[in-house]
Amino acid sequence: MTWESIPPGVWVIFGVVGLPVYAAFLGWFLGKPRNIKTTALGSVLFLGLVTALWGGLFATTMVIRLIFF
Amino acid sequence: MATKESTPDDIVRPLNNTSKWWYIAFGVTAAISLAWLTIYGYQLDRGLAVTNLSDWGSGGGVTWGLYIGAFIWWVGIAHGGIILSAAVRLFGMKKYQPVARVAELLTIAALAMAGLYILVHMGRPDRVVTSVLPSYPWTVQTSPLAWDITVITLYFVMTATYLGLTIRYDAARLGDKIPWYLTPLYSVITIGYTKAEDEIVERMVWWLALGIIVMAPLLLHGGVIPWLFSVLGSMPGWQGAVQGPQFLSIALTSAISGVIIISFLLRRAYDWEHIITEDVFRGLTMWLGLFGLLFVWLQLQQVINAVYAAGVSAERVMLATISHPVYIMAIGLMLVVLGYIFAQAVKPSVFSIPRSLIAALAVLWATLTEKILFVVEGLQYPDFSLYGGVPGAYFPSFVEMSSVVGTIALCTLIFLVILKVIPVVELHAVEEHAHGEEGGHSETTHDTDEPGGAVATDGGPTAAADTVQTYDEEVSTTDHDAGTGSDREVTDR
Repeated sequence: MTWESIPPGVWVIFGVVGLPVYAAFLGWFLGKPRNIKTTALGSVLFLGLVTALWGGLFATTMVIRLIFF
Repeated sequence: MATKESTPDDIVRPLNNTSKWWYIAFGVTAAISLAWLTIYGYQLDRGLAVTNLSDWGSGGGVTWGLYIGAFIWWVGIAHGGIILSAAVRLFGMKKYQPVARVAELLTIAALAMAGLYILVHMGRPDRVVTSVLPSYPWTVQTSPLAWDITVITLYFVMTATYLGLTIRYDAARLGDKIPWYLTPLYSVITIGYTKAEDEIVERMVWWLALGIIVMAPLLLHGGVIPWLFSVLGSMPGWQGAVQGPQFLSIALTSAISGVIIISFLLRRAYDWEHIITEDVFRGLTMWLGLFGLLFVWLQLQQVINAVYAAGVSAERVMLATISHPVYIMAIGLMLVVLGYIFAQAVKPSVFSIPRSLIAALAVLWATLTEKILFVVEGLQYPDFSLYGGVPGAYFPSFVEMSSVVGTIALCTLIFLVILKVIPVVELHAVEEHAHGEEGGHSETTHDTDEPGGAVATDGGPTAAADTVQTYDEEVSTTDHDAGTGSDREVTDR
């Protein structure tokens, strides 16, 4: 294994940093008691927030571009 | 333990009553925020030339200064919050349940300020999304900056999801106590809500709390944030594995300080002496002492390792740091705070909530200044000749300094608005208190979960109410969670 073949970010981000997120989602979907509606609600909230965060940032920065650049 | 019984009316009081002090605070913070945004507009118009941040070749070669120091500071403050809340849920530290949501909100507000600093530090902030996202598949492989953005995004989203899921329980039960204009919002928050989901949501937020308690301390402030500095061998002031625990200790001290300050203000503003009790402040003060001790200890590790026989470059930057008035002031303040915390631990009468407030403010000032100095000194004392003839030294400009006041005002403004929208104390917290007064199980965690305390004998996550009904009906059900709470402790997740 070398830096060139497997750069550190690949295993640090997707192997280590991702673990708490993978674990949480696995816990949501595999633990009991569960129902698909509530699990879906949590998942939609999670993904919606990622979209809102970066979407909001994109909108904000485009406003900055419009006004200042 | 306070004897006055807390009720849901207590926690919705900020939503229904607005004092003149709220208007004054809102006016002042809004004015300061607007003033700073105007100054930031000036920076956008003229460019980073209006800061004292310089390119290589001038200004001491300091390309990162107050902005990045303040960014680290805000990320650190953001930690406390959710870690405290996650600890309440995972480890049964119910004493801190009344400040758990305040802590969650502090996380979100402080993280927003940290994110804002990334924008503010960029010469062309309009390029942040269009340059970061398309190049992500390549930059994530080797760039700590890409890792940093990844973890902050995950941390923010996990925290907001946590809040979004837990707020439904409260919103479903407090709907008849909120002002009319909030009804549409609460209808959206509780969309599809049924009493059956409480138990499932409780399990889901347990998993989120588990993820957060690993993500926040170990992978964010003990991970990618210090890696922005510690992996750079050419900067002896930054380089070294000790930066991980050092950054973490700073984050935890800052965060506990932030929670102490906001809890103090809320307690004063809304007569919450019986909800955010003196006991909570004593416990937070002891945690501040423990984390503050770690912070100072890790500073000692760095100083000894650098000045003994580390090499000329490392010794040079460390000698410059430890003789700098800012460093002496920061560490001096930490030692004074530790002296107070030690004194009140030995002699409890030394403790007072205002003194702990002053200690918290002193810690925040110390961590902010130490972190800015860390960033600047690392750049001013590099280990390669490119910087050799760089003239001048760095001192933050007015534009930069105004950002600290501006973001503090903005963060306060966010809190003032949130106070009028959702209850900042969980309904569970007053339910717990009510059951404790009725002879429930709250005494099992009393005085047991600060550093050095005895081990808690109980303390599973608070059980959800069995039905959606009025609070009075709920508290009359004496087996509400005295039974199910401890049952839940051994339930599979």
